[in-house]
Amino acid sequence: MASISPVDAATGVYFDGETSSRRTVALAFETRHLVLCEDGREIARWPWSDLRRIHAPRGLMRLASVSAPTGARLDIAEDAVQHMIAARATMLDASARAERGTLVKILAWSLAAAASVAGLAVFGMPLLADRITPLVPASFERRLGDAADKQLRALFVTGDCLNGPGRAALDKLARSVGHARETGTRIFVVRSESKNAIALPGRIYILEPLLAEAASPDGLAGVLAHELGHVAHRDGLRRVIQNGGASFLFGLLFADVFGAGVVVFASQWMVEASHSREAESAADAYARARMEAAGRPAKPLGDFLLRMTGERKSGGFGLFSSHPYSEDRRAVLGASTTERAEPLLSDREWRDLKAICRSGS
Amino acid sequence: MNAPLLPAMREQTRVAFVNDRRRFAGLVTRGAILQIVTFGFYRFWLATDIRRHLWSHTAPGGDPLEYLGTAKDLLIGFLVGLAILAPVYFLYFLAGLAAESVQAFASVPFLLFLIVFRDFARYRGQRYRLRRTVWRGLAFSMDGSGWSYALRSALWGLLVIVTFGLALPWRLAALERYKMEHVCYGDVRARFDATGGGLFRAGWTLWLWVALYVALLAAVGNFGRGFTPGDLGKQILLFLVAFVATLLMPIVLAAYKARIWRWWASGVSFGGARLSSDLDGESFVMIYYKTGLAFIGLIFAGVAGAVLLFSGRGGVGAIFTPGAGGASLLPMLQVAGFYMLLALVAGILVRIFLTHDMWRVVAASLSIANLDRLHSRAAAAQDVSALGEGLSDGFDLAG
Repeated sequence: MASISPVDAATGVYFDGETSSRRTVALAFETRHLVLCEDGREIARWPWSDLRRIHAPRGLMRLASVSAPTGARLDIAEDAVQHMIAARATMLDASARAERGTLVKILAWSLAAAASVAGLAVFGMPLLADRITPLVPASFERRLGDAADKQLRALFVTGDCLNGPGRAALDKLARSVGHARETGTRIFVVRSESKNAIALPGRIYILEPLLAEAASPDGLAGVLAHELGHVAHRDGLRRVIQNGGASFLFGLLFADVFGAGVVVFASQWMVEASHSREAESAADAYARARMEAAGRPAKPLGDFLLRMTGERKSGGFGLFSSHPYSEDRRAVLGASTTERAEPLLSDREWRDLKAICRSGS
Repeated sequence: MNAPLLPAMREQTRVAFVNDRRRFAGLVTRGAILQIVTFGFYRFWLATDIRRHLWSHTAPGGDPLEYLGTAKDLLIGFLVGLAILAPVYFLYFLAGLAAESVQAFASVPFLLFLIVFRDFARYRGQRYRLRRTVWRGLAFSMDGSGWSYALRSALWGLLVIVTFGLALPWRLAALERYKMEHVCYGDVRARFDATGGGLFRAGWTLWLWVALYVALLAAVGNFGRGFTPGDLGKQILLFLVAFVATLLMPIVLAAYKARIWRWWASGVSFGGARLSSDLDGESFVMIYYKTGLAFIGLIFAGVAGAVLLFSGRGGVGAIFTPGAGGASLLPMLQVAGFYMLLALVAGILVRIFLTHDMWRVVAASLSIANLDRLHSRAAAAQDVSALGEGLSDGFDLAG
C-alpha cells in the first residue's frame, strides 16, 4: 500500500454498477490510483488517468472510470476532496472538451446543409418544376386557378367591366393574337386600384388603370399576347410547384424551429425573383411571335412596359414581376417594328374598348 | 458535508429536485441563439442538454439520475422519421392534385396515420429516454412495442369517442399499465396497480366543471345573437361571469392535473418500493399564471416593437399593402429579424416556465416508500441500437 492522504475522512458514495445498493466508501489517494475502501477492505482501485467527470448538479462531483464496469459511479460531496481529485485526475474533463469541439462541427455542418438545401431550392426546384409541369393534369391546374382567383379578386378587384361593345372589341383584339387557340382561357377587364395585368391558370386579368394607360391597340394586344404566353407555358402552375417544393424542403428540414417560417418566406422570394425572369422572357418571345403572326410590331409592347416600369421604385408582380425591365427584353421586343397588316382595331373599336368599364351604353 | 443544494443523505425516501434555475436559463438561452444560427439543427443538442440538466438535478433518495442519451441518436431518429413522413405528406399533396373529392377522401386515412404514428413515436421516445436513464449505477429498461401501444391507443380512442369521453379514465389506465409493466429497473420489473375506476372517481367532477363552462360560453354566445336592449344588464353580467370563469379555469385544470399525477404515482411500484405523490394544484396554478403573464408581456413588447418598426417607414409597411408590388430586401430582413427575436424569447420562456418548472414541481412531489426493499441487479446487456429510437424527439412530438 502506498501513502495514504492526510485527509482521512474523505468519503464518497459508491455505486458498483451491478447492484442498486448504495455504499459509503472511504477514499485513499495513492500515486497512480484512487482507492475505494469499504469497512477497511479495498473494493475498487481507479487509475487517475481513467477518471471522468459526469454531469451532476452544482456542488456534487460524480465520477466514472473508463476501466471500471460501465455503470459504476462515485459521488463526492465535499469541496476539499473534489479539489484534491481534480488536481490529480488530468483527464477529468476530457469529454467536456470533446463536446466543445463538436459545437464547431455542428455549426459548420448545419451551414453546409442549409447551403445545399438552398442550392437545391434555387437551382434544383426550377428544373424539377420544368419536368413536372407538363405531367400535371389540366384539372388540377384549373383548381389552382380557381383558388388563386378568389384571393386575387379579394385583394385587387373592385368590380368587373362588362360593357357590350367594349367586350366585343376586346374579343376581337384577343382573337387577332390567337386567343381562340387557348380554349378555356377567359379574359377579364376589371376595376382596380392597381395598374397591372395578371395571368392565372385559365384566366387573364387586365386591370382597368393599365387599360387606361395603353396608347395604342398594338400595345394592349402585346400585353394580351404576353399574358397568353404565360397561360400557354403554364407559368402559374410552374411557380406553385417551385415555391411549394422549396417551402416543403425548407419546412421539413427546419421542422419546429421557431423562426423557420421566415426562412421559408425569404426563400420563396429568392426563388421567385430569380426564376420569373426566364418566364417573362419566354412570354415576351411568345408575344412577339403572335404579334408578328398578326402582322403587327411588338415594339409598342416594349415601349408600354418601359413607360410603366419606369414609374415603379420597387419590385412588382403580375406583368412587372421581374424588375427592372431589362435591356435584353427591350432588345427582343424593340427589334420587331414592321407593320404588315391593318391596325387590329378601328378607332371606334379602340374607343369602345377604352370605355369598357363605363356602365350603360 | 459541503453540498448545500442536495438534501441530507438521511432522507432516503424523498425525490429531491435541485432547483438551479439560473444555470438552466443560461443553457436554454444559449441553445435558442445557437438554434437560430444553425438553422435549427442545434435543437438535438439542446434537447439533450436540457434532459441532462433535468435528469441530473432530480435525485431520488439524494442520488441524482443520469441521462446517457446523445444528440446523435436524436438526429438519426429525426432523419428516419423524415424518411417516413416526407413521402406520406407528399402523397397527400398529390391526392390534392387529382381532385378535391379524392383529397377529402384521402384526408381521413392521412389523419389516422398521423395519429397512430404520433402514438408510436411517443412510445418509442419514452422508451429511448428510459433506456438512457441510470440511477445508482443501474439502467432502466423498457420492452414492449410501439405499434402495440399505438394500436391500443387507437382502439381505446374509438371507445372514448363512442362513449362521449367517459371511457377516458380507463383508456389512460390501460395505456399506462401497458407502458409501466414493460419498464424494468435493472432486473426488477415495475408494476402498475392504479385502475381506471380509481381515476374516474378522482376526476369525474372535472367532466361537470367543463360541461358547465361550455354551457356558460354557449349562453353568452346565444345571448349575443338574440340581443335586445332590455337585456343589456343581463348580457353584461353573463359576460363578466364568463370572463371570470375563464380566468379561473386554469385553477380547476391544475387541480385535476394534480389528481391525475397523484393517481398515476400511487400505482407505480418497483419490487417492494412504492412511489407516491403529494402534488397539489397550487403549484401548477402558479406556473400557469406566471407563464400567462410572461406571454402577455411578450405580446405587449411585440406590439410596441411592431408599431415602432412599421410606422413612419413606408418601405416596411409597404410589404403588407396589396397592390403595392413586391418587397425589397432591407425591410424584409427587418421583419424577419424582429419575428425571430420574438420567437426566440417565446421559446426560452416556454422552456423555463413550462418544461423546467413543471418538471420541478412534479419531481419534488414524489416520494418512495420502502426504498430499502428495492434490491436490483444489472439486467443482461440489452440492444442499444439507436436507430429510430429518437423518432419522436426529433419532431418534438409530445413527451
